[in-house]
Amino acid sequence: MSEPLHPDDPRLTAYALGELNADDRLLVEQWLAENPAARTDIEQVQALAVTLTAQLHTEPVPSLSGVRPDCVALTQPATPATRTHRAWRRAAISVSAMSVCAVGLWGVKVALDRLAPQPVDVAANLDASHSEMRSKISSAAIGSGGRPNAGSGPSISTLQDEEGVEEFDRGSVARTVAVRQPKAAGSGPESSVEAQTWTEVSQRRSKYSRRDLAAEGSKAGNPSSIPVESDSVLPVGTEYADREPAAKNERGWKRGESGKSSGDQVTSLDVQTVDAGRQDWRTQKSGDEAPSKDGEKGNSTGKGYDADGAQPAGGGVPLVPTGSDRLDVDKELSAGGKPGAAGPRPAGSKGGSSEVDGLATLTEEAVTGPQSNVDPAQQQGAVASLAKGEPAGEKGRPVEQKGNAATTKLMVTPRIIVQEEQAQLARVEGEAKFRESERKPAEENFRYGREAQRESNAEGYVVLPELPFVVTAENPLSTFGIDVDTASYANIRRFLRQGQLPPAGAVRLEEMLNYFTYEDPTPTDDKPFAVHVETGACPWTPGHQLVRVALRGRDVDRDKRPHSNLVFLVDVSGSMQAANKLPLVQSSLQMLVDQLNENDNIAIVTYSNEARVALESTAGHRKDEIKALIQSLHADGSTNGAGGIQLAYRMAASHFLNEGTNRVILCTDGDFNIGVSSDEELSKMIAEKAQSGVFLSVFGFGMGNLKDSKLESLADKGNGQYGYIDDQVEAHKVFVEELFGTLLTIAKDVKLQVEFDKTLVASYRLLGYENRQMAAQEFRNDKKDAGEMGSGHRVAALYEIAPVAAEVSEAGAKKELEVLAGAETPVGPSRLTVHVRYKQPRAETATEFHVAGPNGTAAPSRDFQWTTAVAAWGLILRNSQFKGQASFDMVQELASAAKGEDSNGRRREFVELVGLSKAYSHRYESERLRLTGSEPAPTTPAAPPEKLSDEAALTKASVNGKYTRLVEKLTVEKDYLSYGAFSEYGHWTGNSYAGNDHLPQGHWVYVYPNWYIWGDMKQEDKPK
Amino acid sequence: MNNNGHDNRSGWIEATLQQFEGPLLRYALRLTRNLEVARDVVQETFLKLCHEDPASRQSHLAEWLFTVCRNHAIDRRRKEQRMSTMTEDTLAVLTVPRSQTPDTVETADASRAVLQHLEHLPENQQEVIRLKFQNDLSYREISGITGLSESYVGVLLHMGLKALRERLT
Repeated sequence: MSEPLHPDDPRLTAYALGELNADDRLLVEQWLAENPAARTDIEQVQALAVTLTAQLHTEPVPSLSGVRPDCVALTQPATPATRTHRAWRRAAISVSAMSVCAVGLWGVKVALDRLAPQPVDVAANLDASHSEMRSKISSAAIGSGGRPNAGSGPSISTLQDEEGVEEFDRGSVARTVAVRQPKAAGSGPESSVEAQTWTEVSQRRSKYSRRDLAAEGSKAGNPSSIPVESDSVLPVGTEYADREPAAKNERGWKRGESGKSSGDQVTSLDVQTVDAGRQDWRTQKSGDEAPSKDGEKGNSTGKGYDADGAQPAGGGVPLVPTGSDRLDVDKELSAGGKPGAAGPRPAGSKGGSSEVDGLATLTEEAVTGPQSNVDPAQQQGAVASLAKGEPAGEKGRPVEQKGNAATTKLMVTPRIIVQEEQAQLARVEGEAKFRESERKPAEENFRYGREAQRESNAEGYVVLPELPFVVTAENPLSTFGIDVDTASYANIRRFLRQGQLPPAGAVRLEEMLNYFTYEDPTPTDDKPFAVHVETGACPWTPGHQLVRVALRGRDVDRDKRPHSNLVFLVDVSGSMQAANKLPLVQSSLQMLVDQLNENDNIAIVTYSNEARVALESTAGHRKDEIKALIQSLHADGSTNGAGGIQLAYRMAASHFLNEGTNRVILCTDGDFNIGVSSDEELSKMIAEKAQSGVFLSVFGFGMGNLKDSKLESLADKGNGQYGYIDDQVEAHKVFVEELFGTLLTIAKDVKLQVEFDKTLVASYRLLGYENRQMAAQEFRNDKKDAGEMGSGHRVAALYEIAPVAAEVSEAGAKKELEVLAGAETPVGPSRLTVHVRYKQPRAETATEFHVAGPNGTAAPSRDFQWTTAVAAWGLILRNSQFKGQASFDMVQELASAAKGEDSNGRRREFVELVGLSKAYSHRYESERLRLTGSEPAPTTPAAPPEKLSDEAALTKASVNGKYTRLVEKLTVEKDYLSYGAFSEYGHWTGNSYAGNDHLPQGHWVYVYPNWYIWGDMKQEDKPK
Repeated sequence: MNNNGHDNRSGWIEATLQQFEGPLLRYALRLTRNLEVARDVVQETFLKLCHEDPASRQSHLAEWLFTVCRNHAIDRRRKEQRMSTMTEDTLAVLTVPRSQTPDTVETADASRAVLQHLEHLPENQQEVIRLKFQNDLSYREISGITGLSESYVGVLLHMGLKALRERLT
């Protein structure tokens, strides 16, 4: 029999619903044949499906008018306040939405007609000489559309009469609401409703125009200018002034309520610029204008309004645009004057457009004598009565019978038009398409333009200045947060294997030190980690000492680790296709899945063109399912991670484990557009999420556009770790060996404060940890974020100290030291005390303890030596000004002596890498000298070693028969300068060396004067 | 067909409107919880449809419409979320915890009770159940619309139906 099915197998439901593919169907049927009882389940599912289908089809379809009780009831009453305040503008929106789509289509179409050959009365009033704004808008429309009738919106918004335009031009700086309002009142109460309606209408027109202007602006290519402007107007920085809920609408409504007295509402927003005045005027003017064109409607609707009892207090301007609206508009108008300043829009602006079109054009139509067969009076009345319906909503009675009736009429009307105007649709579509194409780049520029410009498609490294020597007498406290990241080392390895030295910015000393496993003992008390301090001589600066401060996290039993809720956020954009990217992510995740059990939940969110949930949170024991899904991931599309990280956090939050680990794990090659508008915003969000208990770890894969510094800072903010995965071995290290360190945080915000005794230590310098520094007083500020420590994590930090009485050679250190005459290397009192502060993973308050430094001199431990070797290498690689006498040879010597057991082979690999770096460095140096025309300094030029016979050399090169398959021999005579007569260099994957290209991979052994490249040992060894 | 493509096209749009306007609005309303926003969303969806080529769209029309509608709705929801002071995840807000299920669901009419029980399922389960049974979409189409894998759609439906069955008995 084939595999047994669990009663909870979703395939059973799929089978019941007829959704199973042939193979699975067969499987289920077989299983059902053996388990007849399960048929009941299938039948129940089918019965339920029938019921559900029937019942769900009876669910009310929301009314398109938006005021039918049933659909109002459908909307959740969760945010009543929002709905109430939104209500006022429902007039406008209802008009536009009364037939959801139809009006939108029709509106656009009508707009087109306006600009198309048929002259229309109001349009005919246009006089180019009167309005600079108009001409600009027109040119914008033409420019962006490539054809004169392309921009429907802008032209609509220019439908001002001449007088208006003049006044517009005369607008003074100080024109304010206060000035405006009496004027508005003067237009007479009978026109109030009209004024209101028209106010909104013109507001919308303006918005419409500014949207197109915005598109034009972005076309002119200045994507970065707008955020500044929009920030000054709307803190949220979006254009949705008229569409956003509560806050702003509330403001708008309040102004309406306060009416006449609202002179006192002159706000700074209102007064800001000339353009604000202009816009005010415009709004106003339209309001005044309306009744004169359609007076009788004004009356009737005005009456309706009064009858409703919600008289607008101010008479003239009950619903003027809110301050922010106005300025928003103004900003756009002025931006129109200087294309390029007008900004592209943030995402989602599409949502706003059609509605505006619909309304603006509809009303236009009603006033100016439309070509449609619709009675303008009917529309106008409907508009007004809808407007009237709104205060009802404000009073908490969203259903208003009269408004409803009107709306129903309107619902029908546009449809008729749609049918009548079918012939025009193609043009509508063309127009819509044009706008679409204009708008999209604009949005994208806004979101990605700045980043793209700044970071281009290259790897991003930041070289942090090294910490200087600090004079103990001036500042005896050195304070920093720990860092358990290891990415830098793996990244350096990748560079070296590629055949180049890493850039200095890629070298972070602390991440190199922490890459290795040390033998420091685990805590013997109940603390989550133990602290060990050791001192010894500094090999690169004679007379100086090194202090190694090491933390060793408690090992938590695998069985006792808490449940975990993991959300992997995987970049599946096209750039991830390379073998060392997505495929490596996949194999990494597969390895990880093997470590999970039923107490773990794993979800996968992917992002490329869009973010999606590839795998909902699934229990870790369903390995086959999870692995199959992981395998099915593939890379394509652009990087548009918008929302990916939010989605991942949402996933994590929705499966939040109070007693467990909650973590989002980002896997990317660094081309990480997150859809949050700035790095700062992103950092803030990540920090907030970390506060809420969802941590973030970041793993970089591949190369080419690795944003090293950015990824590191993200992980730092997210209370997580940053790792770089360059190959399967590293993946195994991170996702298998150290997984629980990653998953299980044993202490957070771990800070160290090392206090040096100024009588014994003249000056000190911390190696690395440049970006983990904090001020001394921040040590006891528990709000200050610091590093996290996971189960089994090792952290090492190294200080170089100049003992008192030793000559302080460092230039930055001052000489005004009390030099204790004749003092030897101090023995006796300890030179330093380490203060440690940390929080339990869920605690808000910190615990503190102290460890005194060693007071004697013992032989340096192996770990001490190893740390020293790694640090020396780091100093050389970043070409530190403090590297002193450090040399590759010194590193090799120290490292070879301290390699120890090296069960995981990492220390051996280190020695190998040091060799590589030495070779490149030498090459670089000779290249540099060749280019600068000088010869290598003949500092006691070593005599060439004795040449062995070919046979003897080959034997020597085989390293006692270790290598058997010679694939290449390369004569590089001068390499004896770096390698001596003999050097077993190790495996190298580079393919170009000493002027030779296309070299095979293999194990390199130097026997003067040749390199011997040996084939892979494994293949040779296997047959034996 | 090409002779009067425009007529066909607008006829097509009109027909699509009639067929899908209501279902899409209903769907958008579920997603946005706000009728006004839902209407915007649906309107946008149809506007977008106008740029589409009928010939190439017709085959997966429903899936396409629901997908576009969903994306718009989520855009809007995200936006509103960011704008408003509602801090926590919409998911959390919209998902009624099971513990809040009323004990006294009218069981007199079992088939009507289904809808009430449905309201208490997690939002994602409700969504796929509605797409499946209200809009008669296949697993594959639902997968395309929601961005969830097909097998995960299966899991959600399975879990949802199972929960409903348990509540109804």
